[in-house]
Amino acid sequence: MWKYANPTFFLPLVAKLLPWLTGATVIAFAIGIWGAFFSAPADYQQGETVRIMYIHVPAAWLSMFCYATMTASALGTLVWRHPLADAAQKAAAPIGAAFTFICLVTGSLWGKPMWGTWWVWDARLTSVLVLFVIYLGLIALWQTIEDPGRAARGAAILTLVGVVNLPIIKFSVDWGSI
Amino acid sequence: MSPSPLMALFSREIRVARRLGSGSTMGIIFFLILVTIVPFAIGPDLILLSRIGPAILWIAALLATLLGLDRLFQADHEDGSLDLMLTSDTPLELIVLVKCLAHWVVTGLPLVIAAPLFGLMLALDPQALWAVTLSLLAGTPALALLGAIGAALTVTLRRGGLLMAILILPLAIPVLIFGVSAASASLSATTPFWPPFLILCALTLATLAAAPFAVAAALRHMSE
Repeated sequence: MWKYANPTFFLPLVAKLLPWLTGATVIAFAIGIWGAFFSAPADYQQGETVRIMYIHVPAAWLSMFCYATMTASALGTLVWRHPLADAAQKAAAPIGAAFTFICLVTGSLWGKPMWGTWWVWDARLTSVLVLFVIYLGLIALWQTIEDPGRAARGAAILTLVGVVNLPIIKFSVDWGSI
Repeated sequence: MSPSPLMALFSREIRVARRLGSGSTMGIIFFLILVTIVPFAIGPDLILLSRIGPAILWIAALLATLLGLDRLFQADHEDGSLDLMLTSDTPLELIVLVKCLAHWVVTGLPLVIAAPLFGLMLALDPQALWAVTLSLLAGTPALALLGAIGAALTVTLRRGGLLMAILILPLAIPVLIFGVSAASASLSATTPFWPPFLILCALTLATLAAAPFAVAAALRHMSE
């Protein structure tokens, strides 16, 4: 299986699999959108605004999952010096930042009718905002350092230092306010 | 008897800071200016100022620490001392620890000493002054070490100051949260001092243990 770490073997595999995976994604999206916006019933307390949760929660999962992927890639960069790990880190940062942004914005849109406010400074929102700032710092680091190899190693170190935020987000739900 | 390399490094850092100017005076002046402009923005209401005074002092200490951090590794990188440190027999993590300690003594400790004086300007009562000073004493080493991570990541950049601040501030947020919580403790009987203060001490100790490794790794990778 390790031969697929080499792009020479991996890229033909991708070329074969990608059409099928694209089709599966489109079908899953279609079922999901129909389910979220048409099939699922409106909540008895929240009304139709609960449908934002079908976007907000997956965006939150993906923002943390993207950071976990970047952490694994960071280990690949620092420990194995794998050049694809560098590329994976660099590509994942804007994607993760975008999902965190979607999570925060859809959360605000849900919170205004539900809680009466666009934002509160409780532990979970604050730690997700900190995650967003860490993503932006990583993107800034990538853009500032010219040599891509050195940028990858710097971003890897910063990613590993910032991974402490992920358990904080996970447990912040229980901790309450800052 | 020749001193150990780490003792020699520490005294070299102190000597260089004293001769070439460490920014400690400018750090205190910046601290003072921040404390001065806040009442201009908020208004001279002393009761309000005494309520948010601990927070103002902490934010000002954090920003003053950020300002002084580019002196930590840049000068050594430019004149080649950093290469000597990278290739020496002494572990780089210990060298980093000694440099951060010297940096804290020169820039962080003056902030701690100045904090009660500036706290008087913000109408803090004596108990609050004690709380602020102790919390800053426990928290500024953590800020210096976390700042060293950012300084090491941006060591090769000419004007990396703003990027360094962006990288450091998310990491410094927990220290800020517990520092302000401990410093604001005495203002009402319902907010205790010891729990947040002990957590702040724990954060500093954890940073003391973990940050040198991150800083050393960053120096090795970023200054190639």
